[in-house]
Amino acid sequence: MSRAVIKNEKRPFISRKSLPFYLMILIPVVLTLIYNYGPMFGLVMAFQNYNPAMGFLKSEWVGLLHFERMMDMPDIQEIIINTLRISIGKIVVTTLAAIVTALLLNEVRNSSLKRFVQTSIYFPYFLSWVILGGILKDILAREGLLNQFLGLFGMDPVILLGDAKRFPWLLIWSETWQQTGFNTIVYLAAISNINPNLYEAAAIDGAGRLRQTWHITLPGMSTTIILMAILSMGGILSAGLDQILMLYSPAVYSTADVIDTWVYRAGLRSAQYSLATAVGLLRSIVSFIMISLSYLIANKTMGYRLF
Amino acid sequence: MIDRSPARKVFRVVNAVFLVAMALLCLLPMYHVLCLSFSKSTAVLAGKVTLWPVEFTTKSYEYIMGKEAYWRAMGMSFLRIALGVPVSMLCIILAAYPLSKTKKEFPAQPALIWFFLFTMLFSGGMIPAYMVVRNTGLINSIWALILPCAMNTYDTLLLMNFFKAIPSDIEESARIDGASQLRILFQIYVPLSLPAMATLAVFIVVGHWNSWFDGMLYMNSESKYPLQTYLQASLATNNNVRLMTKQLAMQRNAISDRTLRSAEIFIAAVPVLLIYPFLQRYFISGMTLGGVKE
Amino acid sequence: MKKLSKLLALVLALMLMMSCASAVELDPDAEPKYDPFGKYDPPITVTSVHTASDNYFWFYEEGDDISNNVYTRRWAEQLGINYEFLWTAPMSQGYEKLNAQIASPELPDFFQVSTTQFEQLVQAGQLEDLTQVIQDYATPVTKKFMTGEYAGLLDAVTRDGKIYGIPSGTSYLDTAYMMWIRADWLENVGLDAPTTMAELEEVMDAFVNKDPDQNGENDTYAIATSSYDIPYNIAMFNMFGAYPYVWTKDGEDKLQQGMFGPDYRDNLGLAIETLAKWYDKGYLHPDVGTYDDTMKEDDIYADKCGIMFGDAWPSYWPLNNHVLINPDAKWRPFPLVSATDEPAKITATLCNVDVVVVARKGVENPEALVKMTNLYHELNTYPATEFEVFNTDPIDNNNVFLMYPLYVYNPAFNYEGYLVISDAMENGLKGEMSPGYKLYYDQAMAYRDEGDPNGFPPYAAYSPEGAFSVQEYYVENKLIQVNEYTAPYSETRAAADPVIDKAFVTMMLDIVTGDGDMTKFDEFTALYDTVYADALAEAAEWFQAQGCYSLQDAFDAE
Repeated sequence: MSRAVIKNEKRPFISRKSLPFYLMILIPVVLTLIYNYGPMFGLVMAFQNYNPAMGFLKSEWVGLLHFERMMDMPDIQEIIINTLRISIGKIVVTTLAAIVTALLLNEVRNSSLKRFVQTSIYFPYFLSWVILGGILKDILAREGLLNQFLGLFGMDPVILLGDAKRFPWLLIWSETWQQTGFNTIVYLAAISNINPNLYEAAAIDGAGRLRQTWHITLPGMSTTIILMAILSMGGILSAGLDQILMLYSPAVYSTADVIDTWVYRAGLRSAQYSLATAVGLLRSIVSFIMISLSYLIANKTMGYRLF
Repeated sequence: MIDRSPARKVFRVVNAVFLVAMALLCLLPMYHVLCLSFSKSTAVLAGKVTLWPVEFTTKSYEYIMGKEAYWRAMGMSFLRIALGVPVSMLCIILAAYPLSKTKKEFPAQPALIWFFLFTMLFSGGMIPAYMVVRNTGLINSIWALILPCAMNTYDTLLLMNFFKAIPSDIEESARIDGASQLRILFQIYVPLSLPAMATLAVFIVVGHWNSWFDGMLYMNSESKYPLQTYLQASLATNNNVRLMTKQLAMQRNAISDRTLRSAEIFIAAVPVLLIYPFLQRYFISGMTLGGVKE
Repeated sequence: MKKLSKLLALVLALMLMMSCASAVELDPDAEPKYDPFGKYDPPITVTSVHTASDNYFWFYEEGDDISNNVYTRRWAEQLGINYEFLWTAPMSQGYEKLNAQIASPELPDFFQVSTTQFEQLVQAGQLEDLTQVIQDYATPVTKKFMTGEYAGLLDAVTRDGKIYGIPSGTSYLDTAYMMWIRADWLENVGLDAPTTMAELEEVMDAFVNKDPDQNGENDTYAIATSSYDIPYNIAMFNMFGAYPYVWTKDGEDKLQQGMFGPDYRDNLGLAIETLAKWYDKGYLHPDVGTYDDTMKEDDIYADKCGIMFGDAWPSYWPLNNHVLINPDAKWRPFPLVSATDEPAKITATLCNVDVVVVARKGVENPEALVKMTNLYHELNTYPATEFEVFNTDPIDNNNVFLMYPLYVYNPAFNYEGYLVISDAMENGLKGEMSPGYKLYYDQAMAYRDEGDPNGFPPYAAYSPEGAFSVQEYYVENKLIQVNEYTAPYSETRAAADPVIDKAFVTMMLDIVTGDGDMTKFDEFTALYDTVYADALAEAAEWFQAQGCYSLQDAFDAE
């Protein structure tokens, strides 16, 4: 009965039932069209030698020149690998850290302690890397706090800032330090959304806290976790320019020079709008592919649906 | 119900210690900046200040409190938030709700998700953005800091996610009672999603508070700069200046007072730090409100 | 002095000859046809923008700000010109914002641009031709800074015989490269200022091993530098006969870079090897590979090092801060020693444009720009009749001149100032001195006689023992390596330079802080030859189009 009927039934695009939705979303759509889609004509800069004085219409067209130049750079492979290594590392570690912190905070019964911790950990988010970088450099200096601490145990001083192999980890963990407090907000909200009756029911069935976390809390957070993970794929080629600029030095270029820092240095010599736009465009395309891919994976393996 | 086993007790203590240690680690940088702001400039330059002010002075704070421009910029930031938060929240709520519906209920849903997602990834850059804002007549107006960023896709998708978690029978029963979608949204969904609303509020407030580039780009006079734009003038990075001229040296001198900069930073961070504690009470399950039967 | 002016006059003649293609005849001595300070009645309003910030000027008088201060009032009162800002934004953000403005296009009437922006605007035909109004309205002073030894500045803003802006820049007299050493440490270890490389190494050794700050511990090192500074430190490389940032002749019809060109590779290699040796001996901080400029400055402030390789301005930043913290730190400048048998030469560009003051095409009163510049020079740079009000406040050393958006630098100020001030310091004050120089004279004397640390910067720059005395030594002995490649910066170079930069910096720091293995150097030079081939060809083409005229040869052939 049902299938044949439904297949032939005409489903109007706009109906009385769906009209309110169209009206609601009208304002956001209009704003997006003007302020997000409007400026996209600027993407043509990627195919020109853009001269602000001549504008988009009169600047010289160079087709794929900038893209070719990028690919021809001798260290392009190293730069891309560095970028991926750092950004994937950051995505994985910051996501896990935020989830774990949210779960641990959830276990705290004392509400003032909980509030104190929740508030404190979100402080570093408000300090820019200009300041945090300076502080971190002081701590990691040869005579800085870290080495003084190690010295107490009779260990030799360690120079993280100059160690190309360990430097990416420094970037990842210091970013975690800065971002975790802020990221846990979302996961805490997800946890608060879980119906407390579920926990009571599980406790009656004899489930311990760990099992409750595994079977109730995590699944309850799952849609949020998956969504956040998919969205973070969009940042896969941005490894954190401000932070890296503050902390890196030529000693660690081999693992710390990423796409953004390279473009930044190129731009110091002459305004490189075209190059930056070309790089940005490439980045956007890759991010788009990554987001689509991760959604596809989430959909097929976990039945996650956005639509 | 409550697990009182010794293992659990140990866990609770270890957990608490770990979290407090983490909290202190995160508080330290801000505390350090506070100490810098109370120390004499030469002591700061000589690197003597770590966890306690050296040669205590309140000169920087006196100077800032007396500087009209600073308070004006702070006021601009508050105005921006007072206008921006309701506008943004409204936009995001109005977008997230339809997007949380299925394709059957709202045929344009899949297309619109891609529509918004696309804008998160692709951007034309600073110059075209400037041109659009200029052509819509918003240059030098506070609305330039509000309208272009009112619709935030990331936050919208997060909120959509939370709305989806609300069981659809609630909507069904309300519709049977004759409620319009608008009423359902604002009288049922929003109150049931308090943690989500609080999260949204934090994100929007912080986003507005921290953003400085749009203020610099779209405002023409410094009297209209919001706070962070105003402060950016003070924080210049030192590197990559290879060819020094006397003028450059003098400019550096003009902005080199580290004590002053620290005080500015601290005062700028304080108001927004208080937002989250204020909103924390909303992080309780909406499900327990209104006694909705599961 | 006489030898100097004769030399300059010759350079002038030769440069005028060289730049025949785009030369404009400006007679510096001719009085302007119209009143150079003619007041507009009724007053006119012009728009501008400013890349400075209210934040710099915490010394404003009551009620003043960037739109209402000594400059705005005087300009309105004397010239009948009200200048208003379309916007103000500090430093690098101002630069970005100006780009957005240029793209809009919504240009202010008069504004100041970088050389890159100037190129872009000229290409797009957005600038007003100022040739006529300069000839008709400019005072001899204004013209002085665009002619004679500064004719190169004018050339840079002239296209097809038309002048499109008023250049602000420096000449080779404006700075020099030298060693700054702590004389108090030299005293403490019982050594004189080094004049040979061997003596320099002895000094550095003593700074590391003989406790120069006399605190009972060997916790000091010698050279203050950072990972950003050391790969391009002009002074350091000049000692070894390599010349960063300049191009020299390669044979008769080509150009090569003074650092990477074939004639300089041996010297460059020697420099890197020597630095590696110095690193091993502890003359450089072990973490120099990760140091940034803040860390370098912090070490200076903490009395950790005693030598700095730089130009004429460290006394204004950062050494001035050090002297405030530790008034006994006696930083003094000395000529570079040489690693080769010949005395060290310093690099110089004969004329170097920094920024350009321009007017947008179609502006109503282009001559107003010239009048404003005339007045600016009169009050501020030469003869600087009101220096204390418009340039630098003598009491707090506040830099009032930063308030004005259209400043034009006086390229003669520093060297002339040195001549006048040091003469007075040695032989006593005779008669009137221009207020600008007088201010620095007073401050320098205060430092010399009373140890007032606020007088340290001018003392270290303009006194008979100051930075410009070192400059004088180079000039009189013609120890100057001139930049031959004066074409505007091109796309080809913009594409190749970042690649070479990164490769060089990485290679150099690797060798210096590592095992001293010079094979990486050979790899680098091979890379350079491939990557830079196009830019080298372009340079050769340009040079041949100039008739292979060598500025260095002209300079040397006195």
